[in-house]
Amino acid sequence: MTMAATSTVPAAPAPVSFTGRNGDFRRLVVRGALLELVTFGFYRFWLTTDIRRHLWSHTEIAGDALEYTGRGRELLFGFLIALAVLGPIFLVYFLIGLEAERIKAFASLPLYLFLFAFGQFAAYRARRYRLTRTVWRGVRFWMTGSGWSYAWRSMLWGLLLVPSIGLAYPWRTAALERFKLRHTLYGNLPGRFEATGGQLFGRIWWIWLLGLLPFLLFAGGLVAILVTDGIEPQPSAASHPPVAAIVAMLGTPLLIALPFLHAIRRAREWAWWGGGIRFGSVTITCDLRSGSLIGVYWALIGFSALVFFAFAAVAGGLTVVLVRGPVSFGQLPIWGMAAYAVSYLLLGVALGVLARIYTLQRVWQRVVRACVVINIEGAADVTAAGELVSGFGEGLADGLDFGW
Amino acid sequence: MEAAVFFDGRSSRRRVVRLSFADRLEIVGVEAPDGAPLASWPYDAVRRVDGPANALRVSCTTAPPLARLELRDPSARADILRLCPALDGPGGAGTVSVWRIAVASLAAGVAIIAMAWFGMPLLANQLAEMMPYSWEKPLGEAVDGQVRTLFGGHACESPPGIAALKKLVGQLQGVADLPIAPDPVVVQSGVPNAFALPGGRVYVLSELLTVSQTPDELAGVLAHEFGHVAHRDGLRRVIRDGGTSFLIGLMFGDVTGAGAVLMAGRTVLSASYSRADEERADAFAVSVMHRLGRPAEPLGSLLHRIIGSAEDMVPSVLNDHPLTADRKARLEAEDTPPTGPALLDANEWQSLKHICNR
Repeated sequence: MTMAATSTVPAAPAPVSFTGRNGDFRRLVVRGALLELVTFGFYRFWLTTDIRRHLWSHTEIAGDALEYTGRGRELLFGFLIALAVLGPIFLVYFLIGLEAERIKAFASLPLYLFLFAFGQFAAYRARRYRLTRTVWRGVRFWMTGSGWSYAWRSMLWGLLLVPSIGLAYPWRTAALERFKLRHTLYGNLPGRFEATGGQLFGRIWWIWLLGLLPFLLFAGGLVAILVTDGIEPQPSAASHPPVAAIVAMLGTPLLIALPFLHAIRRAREWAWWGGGIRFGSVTITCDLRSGSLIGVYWALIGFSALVFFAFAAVAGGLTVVLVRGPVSFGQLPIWGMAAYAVSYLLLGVALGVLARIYTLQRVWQRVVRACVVINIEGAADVTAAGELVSGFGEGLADGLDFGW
Repeated sequence: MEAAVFFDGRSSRRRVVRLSFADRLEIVGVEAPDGAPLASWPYDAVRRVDGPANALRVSCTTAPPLARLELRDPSARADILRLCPALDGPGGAGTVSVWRIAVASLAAGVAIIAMAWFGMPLLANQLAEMMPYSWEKPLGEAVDGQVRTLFGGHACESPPGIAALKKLVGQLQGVADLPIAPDPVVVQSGVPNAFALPGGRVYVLSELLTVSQTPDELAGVLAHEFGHVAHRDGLRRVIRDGGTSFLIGLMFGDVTGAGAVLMAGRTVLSASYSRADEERADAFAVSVMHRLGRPAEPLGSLLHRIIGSAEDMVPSVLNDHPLTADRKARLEAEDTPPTGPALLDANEWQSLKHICNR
């Protein structure tokens, strides 16, 4: 006999919904950003946690909300442990770099690759932390697999990106997602990723091509300028305007098109990603319309521009008040310097808040609402499994600045 | 509407339940109302956890950690709020005390700034004294390649110029007695400057030779740079700046910003010495010049000619160098008339000035 209280009609897709209110999230991040400011940034551990708690607890799958059980304290400890590990590594790194420089100038540059690999390792471990803090219906998600195994895959695929001018991106993303999902479990229900790089390429190839256009244009313009210079040896600026005008004429629409293209690309990629996720017989599909993120990105651009104008107005006003007549910068009163510093810090806070609202919450909201779960019965009786892991990975990612 | 939903924390099975408020909170499945309760929780062990807006979600400290009871029905919610005395007690989601975080962060921030401000220079002094010269050398050699690349890759090496430079340096070293024999290099540049790197490397930019009017002026600059070498200022600065940027990075979470630790070798070129370091190097130069029986004042004149009054525009707090006027005054005060022979004769001086000519 079944005690499951879910819908008895089989194969009806279960909705995924987001019930959070925009105002609540805005208040959360504004307050958090101001607290970050007065705590020298230490509040970031608790702000990150609160953001996740908000997003998770307002995300409902088949009527049951997720729960984020991580705590700011764990992130702080993870960061401190990561520091203890990173400190000596940086020192060794420094000494090796020194030795390499001695043999050949700028020879230590490839060592940055090592740091990048370490960042990939950290990202994998950070994901593991987040998953083990993600609970649905009293059962947590968790993850196996080695962070280093992920890091070298990511590096090798990354090496293909440059010579293929980004063409390898869909296949790299698919391969890495396959690796991550293959090692992800919900209780004892193993996950997997079934979307392919070819499918992603099919969705975004024209955006990739259009994205290359500005670079081609730029290179073309450069060549054109060089050629016209070669024909007309005297270095007169008069020969450049036609070329410059053509570049500007083609470049300006591209600049305006860029946010549209980016929004469409993100939407298509999210839909592809969500639609590739499987847990046992549970399937997800995401019907995210291509245009659904355009408004989000333009809102981000618009509000950021407003913030910049406000900052410019304040800084300009300050300058007018402070500098009457020919006064050099060195003679500014100390409160004048402080006023500049405060307005600059507030600019940073405002931009940080906007980024969190528009690139995190609004995107999350739209992506989540576009998805449905098919055959949710496959997760109706999953046995709990998996152990909690420490926040070390998050700390590393924070320390290496690759976190999100 | 389902009044309450229960998850036992062992499986994802979703059970619609009804609550019975006995001496413990009894959770009974609606599909088996006569069976034993699915769980029975002491009221004071019930904790509030994160949940959706339309439900109260609770856990129990004596149950499996992920066992959850979700109350959607307002009256059941009210009952729980009334009956459970420690809903926000330890072990629940709770709320963190922002004040505690703020105060602790401020304390940590002040401690880090104090460490960077007072601790790092102290540590740098101690470490620099302990470190043998042989350890300092690779640091300079590592940067040497970059310096030469930055300045076009070629040192100025006309043989008569080199001979004159060696003679000048030999006399200075005769009294300065540096542990590493200095071997200054002249590199082509339009900026009138000279600098010393950790490991005792001294670089003279060719424009400085153009601007110098007498051997004493150039000797003063070299003696000043030898002062930095003798005091190991370069090494101390690397340790101090690297440590400080690591601490600051710690504060703002960007330890790679302490990638400045990695970059320290490179920042050697751009960063400046502290004011105290400059004054000590000046004093060293004065003592060297006097022991050679030569005046120290020309160093001041040269500095004044190069920097002029331009730096008076910069607030003195932000400027690490003692103001040229102050330095010039100090060097003049220490001045004595020349008692020793000229360091270079007129021919040698001309060769040195044209060391970059082939």
